Amino acid sequence: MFYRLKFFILSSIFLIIAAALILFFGLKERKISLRNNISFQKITGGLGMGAVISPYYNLIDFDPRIQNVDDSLTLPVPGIYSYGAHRTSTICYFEEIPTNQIKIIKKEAQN
Amino acid sequence: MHTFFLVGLAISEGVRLQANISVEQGADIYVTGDQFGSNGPIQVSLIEDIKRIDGVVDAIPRIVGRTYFGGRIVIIVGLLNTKINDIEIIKGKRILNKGDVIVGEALSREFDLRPGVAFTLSQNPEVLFKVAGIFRSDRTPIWSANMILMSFEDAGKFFKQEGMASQILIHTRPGYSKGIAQLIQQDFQKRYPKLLLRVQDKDLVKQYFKNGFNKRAGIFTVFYIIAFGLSIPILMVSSGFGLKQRKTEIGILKATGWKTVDIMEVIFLENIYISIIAVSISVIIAYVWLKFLNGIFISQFFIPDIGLIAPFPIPFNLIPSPVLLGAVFSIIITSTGSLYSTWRASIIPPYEAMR
Repeated sequence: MFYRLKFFILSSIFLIIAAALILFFGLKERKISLRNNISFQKITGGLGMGAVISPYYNLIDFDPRIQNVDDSLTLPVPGIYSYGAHRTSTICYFEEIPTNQIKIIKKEAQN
Repeated sequence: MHTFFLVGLAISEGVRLQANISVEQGADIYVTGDQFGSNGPIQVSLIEDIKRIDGVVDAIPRIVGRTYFGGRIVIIVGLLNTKINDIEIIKGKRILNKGDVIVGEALSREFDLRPGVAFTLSQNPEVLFKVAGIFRSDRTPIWSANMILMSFEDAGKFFKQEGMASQILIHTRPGYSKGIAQLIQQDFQKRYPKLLLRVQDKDLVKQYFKNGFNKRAGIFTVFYIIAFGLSIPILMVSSGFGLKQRKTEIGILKATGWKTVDIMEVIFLENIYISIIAVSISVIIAYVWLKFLNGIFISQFFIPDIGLIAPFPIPFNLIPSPVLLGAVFSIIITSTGSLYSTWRASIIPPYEAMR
């Protein structure tokens, strides 16, 4: 009975310590990963947003800085259906933001 | 269930973190040509004019294009040699000669692209490339997995757009970017009437990021909350299975002088203990799943088109807050399932509970 209790308590402590260590070293590893990511993005000038790795259909899925127009709007093109890889992603969905599109020049009415 | 939540949330946070770094560390202003409403190439010669604007720290041309490589779409990035040679190389050497390229680890592994291997691409087979080195992509963003980095001149030659860039990246002094973006938009149009430009500043890119992630960011959490909501009645029902034995135990405790509040306290502490152990096990399983199994079966849900086994390390960020949240949820679920039934068993006379 005593041994069973001892095993039970020890394994509980072990589990809690293991989980705490994972979280602690996870944060440490995150710092290294962050450093590498920051350096890469600084060098390349910022590449990639969202969760899509390959710009199969619309470049907007890949990065709005590279192609900020949702090309799927110009579809259907024969043989291709309007499909954006970004639409299958759960955590993000990029949609075109209308900007710098409207420029109304109002001319004064001449009497 | 909590393990699923932790793995999903860790991948989601990992991708979001990478995207955020991409936005924050990128240029302050991106200038491209406007071609039929879409982004088009821009003349590199404009850089000199841009550099003269007050507040501009640097203006760099960049080419980003895509092409096919053995049936796979790859991203070609052309950067100035001074920039490209800052990238960490894990095998081979840096770009020294014309035609030298460095490739991502995933692409190198898939097509056996070792340093020294020469290749051409079908879009322009006249240009011969040679793999100079392989850059570290296990700790760089997921987008670098299928990337070929080359000099700006080589990229221009390959796409037959020499003297043109995909974008001009402008770095500005803090607080200047909005004004400079407006100046380029208006002044350059006047100066070069035939030129159509598209100017995006960091704030706009941030807006994309905010919108893109906020729309669906909560979906996984919503799934979890639904599952959490469903688990309460399930637990209440399942807790009834052991009610007979628990009633007897409570009856014995009451007969030996325990008060209802003491019994409730023991049960509550028991629930806390169970929850902490369950969450600890979840963290360990989630870590193994993410680190050693590369988020298999769940990463496809977050990163489309990666296949069953991702050819690159899945980004993840196992943060303490969902772990704590899981522990709280677990305590609520177990308490909901057990405290009420314990209280019901505690208020009846001990002889009846032991029967």
